[in-house]
Amino acid sequence: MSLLRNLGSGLRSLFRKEQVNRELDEELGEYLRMSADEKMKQGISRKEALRAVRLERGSLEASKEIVRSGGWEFFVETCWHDLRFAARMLRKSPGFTCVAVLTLALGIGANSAIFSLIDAALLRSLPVRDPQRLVVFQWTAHKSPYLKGHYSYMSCPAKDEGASGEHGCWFSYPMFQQFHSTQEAFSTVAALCGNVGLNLRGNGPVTFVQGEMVSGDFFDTLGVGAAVGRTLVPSDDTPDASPVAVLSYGYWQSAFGGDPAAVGKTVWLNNVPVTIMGVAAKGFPSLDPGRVISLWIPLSVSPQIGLDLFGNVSGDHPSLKAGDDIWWVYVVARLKEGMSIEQAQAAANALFHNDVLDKSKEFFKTEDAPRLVLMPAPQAISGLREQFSTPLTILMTAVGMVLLVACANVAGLMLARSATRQRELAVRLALGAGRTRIACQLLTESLLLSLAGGASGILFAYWSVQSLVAFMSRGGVWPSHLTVHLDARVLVFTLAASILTGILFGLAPAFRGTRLDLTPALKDSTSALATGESRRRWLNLGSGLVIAQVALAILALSGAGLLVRTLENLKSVNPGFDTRNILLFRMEPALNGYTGERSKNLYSEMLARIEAIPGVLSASYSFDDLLSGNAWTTSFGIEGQARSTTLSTLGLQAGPKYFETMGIPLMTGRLFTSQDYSLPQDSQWQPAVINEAFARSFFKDQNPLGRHIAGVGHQGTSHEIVGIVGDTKFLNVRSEMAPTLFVPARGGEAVFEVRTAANPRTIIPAVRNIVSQLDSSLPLFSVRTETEQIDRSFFQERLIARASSFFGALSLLLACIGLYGLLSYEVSRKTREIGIRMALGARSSDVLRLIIRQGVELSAVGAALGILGALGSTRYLASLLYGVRPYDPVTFGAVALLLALVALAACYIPARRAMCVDPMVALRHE
Amino acid sequence: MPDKSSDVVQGTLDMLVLKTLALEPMHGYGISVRIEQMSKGVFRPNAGSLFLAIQRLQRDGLIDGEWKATENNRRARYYVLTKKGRQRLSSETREWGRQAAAIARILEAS
Repeated sequence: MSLLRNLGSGLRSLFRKEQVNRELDEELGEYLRMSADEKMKQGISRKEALRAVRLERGSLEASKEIVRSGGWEFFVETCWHDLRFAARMLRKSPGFTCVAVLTLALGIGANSAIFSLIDAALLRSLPVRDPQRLVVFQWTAHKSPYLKGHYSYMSCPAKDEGASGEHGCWFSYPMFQQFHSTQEAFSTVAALCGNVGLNLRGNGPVTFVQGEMVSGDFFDTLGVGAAVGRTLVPSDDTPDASPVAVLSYGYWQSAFGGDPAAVGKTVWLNNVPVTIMGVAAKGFPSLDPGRVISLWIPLSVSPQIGLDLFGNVSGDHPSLKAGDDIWWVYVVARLKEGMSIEQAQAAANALFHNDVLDKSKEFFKTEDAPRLVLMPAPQAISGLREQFSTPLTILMTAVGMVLLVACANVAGLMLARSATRQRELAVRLALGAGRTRIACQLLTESLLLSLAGGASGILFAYWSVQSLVAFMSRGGVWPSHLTVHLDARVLVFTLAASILTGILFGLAPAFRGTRLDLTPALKDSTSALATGESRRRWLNLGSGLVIAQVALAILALSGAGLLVRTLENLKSVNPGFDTRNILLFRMEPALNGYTGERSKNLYSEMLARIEAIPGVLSASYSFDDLLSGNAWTTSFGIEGQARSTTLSTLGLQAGPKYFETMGIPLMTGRLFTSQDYSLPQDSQWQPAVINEAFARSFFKDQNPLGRHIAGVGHQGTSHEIVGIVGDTKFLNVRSEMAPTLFVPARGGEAVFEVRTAANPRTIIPAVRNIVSQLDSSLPLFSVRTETEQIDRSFFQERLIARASSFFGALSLLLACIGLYGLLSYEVSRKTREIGIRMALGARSSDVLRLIIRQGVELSAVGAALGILGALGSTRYLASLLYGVRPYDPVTFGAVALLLALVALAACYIPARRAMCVDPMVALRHE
Repeated sequence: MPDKSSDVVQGTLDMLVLKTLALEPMHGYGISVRIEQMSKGVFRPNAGSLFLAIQRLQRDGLIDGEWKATENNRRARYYVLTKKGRQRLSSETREWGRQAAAIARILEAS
């Protein structure tokens, strides 16, 4: 009540100022008159009485001032005055205002842009209802469970970071069913398993899509609805239900053009007819927003679709048929109303404990301390966090430095300006303005500047985010459904950054402005001030700011330099094969029911036809492709060697002419011949080719040719080593040249490699044609060139290197503008001094040296500090670097050289101006 | 000097104004004269502080003001205590008594 009254009364005095003033005048006037009347009773004249009252009680004006300053509206009014005054002052010097606003816009805008990426990738909540009540199941133990096999899907960060031991988010299907029946703890429990490759036919040309198998109440558990049609229901997930699928909104848009008639349509997934029941809600790309899922199918469909997720693990398929010794489902649940996560965990843990310690199964021993933990979904589902937190942290640091440089820059500008405003400030102080008032007024000016900078920065951010996201989407790094927009959070961030910035760069001038020595400031003319005590103090602060800018720019540039060198090193790595003009594409005929033998025949036919395409030099296939991050690791033993321990190596199933196509040189022995590929599956004798690293690691000085190795793969085949080839990088460019074992491919899923004479992309239509002639229900997918594949694997490095160089260059530019500003100011201050020097016979080269020396001194100190800072901090980048040490002298030297050049250019213009000073004009300057 | 007025103890002017108004509605000058009389000339609030206190009390809803004619046929703003003001006065008086007694005890302790 009284608050309202206070507000009302305050507003009245703000907006009906005239009336309130008049009333106050009248009331106070009456008061003083009454006092005077009282005094006149003692027999003095009216005039004297009034004078006495004024002395005793205070004058009318002074009293009014006291009363007025008591309310909050007085503060508002003062601010409003300050703001108007600040706007007037800034309008009076448009050049300064423009430069300052532009600098701040760059600094703040860059921060808003990167923050909006952080906002989109790391701060948004999961696309499910009430994410905090959704929990993810995880087991922890001292040791991994004794299982026949497991399949891990989705990232699975440990609940207690730094805890030793093992953990995982995969469970067996029977265990999930047990969790599902714990009615008291959870309202619903759902299972999912992903990275399901599907050949989709019935909607234009055959395509390959990524799907997720989910239990019937997956959408219920998540609280996700349908955009069109319906989502999956428990009755879809029963053995005799007819197969159905739900599309993701993005896939519906891209593949079906957003046509509502898609619902009800039948498509063939791996040659099995499936009805599309609906489209999931628009805001739900998948449970992990970092993944792009095209469609969801019920778990019960998996046996019909012939999913073979474990094709290469001991022949056991993770399907509903898999027993409880294969763990493959990811489990999420929604806590029951009123259930705490601890209570639910206790209930689920009891179940888990009983099951895994069961004597007949014994997946864990009691001393392994197996435990089931529940993690809140926002903490557990961290795909985006893992992918983006490092690059975004680096970028945020870089733009943070840009903003600091911008602050120092504008602070320098403000200082120079406040030096010319000293007389104005001195006059105001002399007229009785309080020092706090002056400081407030100066701060208001800087806040106004920074807010203007922030507003323009938003525009800059909008533009740069668009191009940054476009760049990242092209590189396939940024999930396309992850929209970046300048939402409320970004705007609040920008506002906060602007205000902080304004205070940061406004403090120095405000502080300076209030510590003015009145008498000399009033007495002296402005330019004479430049020789006084205050000039030195100003210079120190101004120089300090320039030094800080240079140091920050050097720091940013050193980091960027190291990242650029890393990228260059990665690009120039020789992977051991010729990466130019190779076309890659994948096929999975097994999804359509091809046996190994049948796909092998298909492949030989394909290879023959592809090699007949004009411009194709040779073609082959393999199980994995080099530098894709995928690899097969196998154990083996060497026959005739005393050591009985099993060894481990990377392995690759290579098709005919693989080495010739890839350009991997043969060192000794022979390569695979066509006879090697026509050996029967169960042949006792199998050939193998090894690389030099394999020979070095496992045979030392012995000749490996003709030696046998055994126990390769889960069939445990044995092979005679027939040849040795050159080393290649396998997993990725950063990896070492590792021992690799090559065995003849036997069909199955495959990556094709086609070497062409010219641009390999030109033959794509011809290849597609050949495949559809052979079997029109087989899609090619992941079509790309080897160069594109390598480029894509560097994408993060390229993004960080480019963006950090851009921001490093920006800080350098700002720092040099700061340097230039300071020196220009100096030259205009010293016009008289220079004139005298020249009149006394100094040559223009002396003048040049005078100015340049100051610039060089400042940048040298700044550079030294910056390099010291870089030496201390670049080690945080160490994990990202390749082929370059965090304290790489070449990078630091190059950065320093760059700075020297740019700084010289920044010094030269003011120095030129100084050289052109006409002594006569300069001496008459005053 | 006996006629030298002292400043009112910090924060107590509000209470004194309330007390004065508890007797009868009064205008600014009347309040000032009454405080002076009752304190036997020890407190002589100046115009600024007095009207600031009045403004504050008004905004807190402890007193209300109304323009009226004075006995000399002039116009002045008369203030009356509201119900809330009356409650506040009694609670502050009690509190003041407690504190004053406490301070007195401390100062008299030997």
